[in-house]
Amino acid sequence: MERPSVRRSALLLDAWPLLLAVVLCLPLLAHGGYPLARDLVFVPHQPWTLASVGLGDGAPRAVPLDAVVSLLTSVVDGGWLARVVIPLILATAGWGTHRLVRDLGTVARLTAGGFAVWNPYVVERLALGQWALLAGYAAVPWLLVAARRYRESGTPGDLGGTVAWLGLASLTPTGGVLGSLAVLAGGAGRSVRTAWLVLVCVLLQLPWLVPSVVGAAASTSDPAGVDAFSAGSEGPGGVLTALVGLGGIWDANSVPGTRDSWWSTLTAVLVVVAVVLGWRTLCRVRGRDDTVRLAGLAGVGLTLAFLSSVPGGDELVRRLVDTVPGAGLLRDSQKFLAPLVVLAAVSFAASAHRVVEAARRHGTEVVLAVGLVAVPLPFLLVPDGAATVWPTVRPVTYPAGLDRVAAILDDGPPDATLATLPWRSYRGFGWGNGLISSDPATRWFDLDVLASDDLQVGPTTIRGESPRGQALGRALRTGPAADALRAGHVTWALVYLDDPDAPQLDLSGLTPAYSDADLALYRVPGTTPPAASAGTTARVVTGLADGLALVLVAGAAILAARRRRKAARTSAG
Amino acid sequence: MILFGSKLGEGGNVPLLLKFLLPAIAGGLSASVTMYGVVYSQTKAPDTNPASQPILVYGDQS
Repeated sequence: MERPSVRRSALLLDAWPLLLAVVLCLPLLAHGGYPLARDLVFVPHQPWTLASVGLGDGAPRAVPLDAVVSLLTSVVDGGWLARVVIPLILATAGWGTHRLVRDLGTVARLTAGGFAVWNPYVVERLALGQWALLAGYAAVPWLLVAARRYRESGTPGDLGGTVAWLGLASLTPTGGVLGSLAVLAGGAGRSVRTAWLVLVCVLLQLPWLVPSVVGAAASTSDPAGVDAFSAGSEGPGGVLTALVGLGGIWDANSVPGTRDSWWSTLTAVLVVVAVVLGWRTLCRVRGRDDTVRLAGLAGVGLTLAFLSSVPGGDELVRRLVDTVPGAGLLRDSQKFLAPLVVLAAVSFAASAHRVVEAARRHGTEVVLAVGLVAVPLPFLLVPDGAATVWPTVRPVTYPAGLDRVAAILDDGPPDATLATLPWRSYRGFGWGNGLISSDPATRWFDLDVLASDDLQVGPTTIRGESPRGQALGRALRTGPAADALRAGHVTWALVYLDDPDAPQLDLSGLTPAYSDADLALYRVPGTTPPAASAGTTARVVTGLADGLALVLVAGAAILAARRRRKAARTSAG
Repeated sequence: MILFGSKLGEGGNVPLLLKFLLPAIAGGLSASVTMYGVVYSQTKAPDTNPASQPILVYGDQS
């Protein structure tokens, strides 16, 4: 039976990452409404549409995430879902990372768990609203543990654990790639077991791979995005220093203010020192082989993140993005830094452990002093982490008009398409929280919603992948809205009245169907239904891929739970 | 009082007064650096004039 002090320590180790996660998400938890800022969009109930499984007009970027959120919001309100899922994902990263160094002391493990939750990478990505990518990051430490177990035991239960965590990572395409890399780094070894791991990695990527091949969207992306989304410099040290310091996101608005100073350089120096200082301790507690595997994975991630920032590398990535289907994933390169963050967290822990061991012979007070610097390390390195994230996670109250519009659309013709105007992808709302956001209409209404998928990054416009959206955008720029919408087989037009360009819209020829202070809905007279964005074959193949992945993850979770129960019984006996 | 497995004040050759001061110094240092960072971040001027930026952009390169 566990001693009370051990139970207290275990509780503390899991409570610290959760506390930091709660602090980062505080406005979301303290206010009513729904998160809507940047890429963070939750609506009360997200209907199941073809776009949910990647067969809409746009590229399957949030696949199978949208399908999973659609299923979950059919039983729980989207606002509550966000309040549970986002802090839980952040805490999961901390819980997994401190378990990677479970043989170290409490101070070291608190350092690892806390740093995994609150660091430049998580802060910058959450400030951009990319919570689902962080699910992929959070799964990395768990995948390393699970894949190592499978490499050593080869049992179905351990393979199940790996598949279950890979399922979480694979909610987004980038998370799936990150997770697959972690699985192969942690689990590759004997040929048969490696083959099984490769197989499950491929099967769990089918939900986005299949629609990207059979769907209506272009399978390649605009190479202009390579420069726009390449890692950025923070502070005086340049891009590589920013990346080694675990930041370097492309978007200046997501960068904490302190990172634009020597803080960024200092973090990079401390990460390198921690990796060097903690290496021997890590090799001792995790084994040299596993430490080398983690370092190799982090190295691959850093290389991918830096590739588009070096001469020659940027040209290579541009060519890949322009010609290879799915290579658009490489554009936002800093995402791939996730394994380096995990390596940094466990290295800080190992370094803290060494210092604590040295301090122990000088007495408890000196150990306490070390703990008071090591454990709050997240605050020391990103003191403005919460201030950077809070504006993004502050929820908004959606206008009641959205529900009234939804009711009208539900009574409208089947196979209709709605376009949102003025034609742009990211919007600022008078009723929002002051930040621009992705268009909530694409997730709100139970029909095909066309919105611009061009991305404006500073002065650069990055062309979207939807041929139908591109054609409609061109038509809207050159002629009256009614003609453009009719030619694009669009039945409804939703106008956001608080958009600065709304007064300039030529809406003559459209029939008003609803209007309030925020929204106006128009019917397009004489429009005909569009050709289906996905044929029967595409729907069947995508359905099979989704079904296969779902059954695989569900079965794996059951196998892993059985293995866990069996292990618990064995240790109790 | 027992903390980290041993009694306070025991062990090592660090003077007793310094031993008791060290946690306060470390805690104070951590709190000061954090506070300085928060104040610095919230009071620094933006890199570019917000008025010269397009309003509705997905992001801006750092």
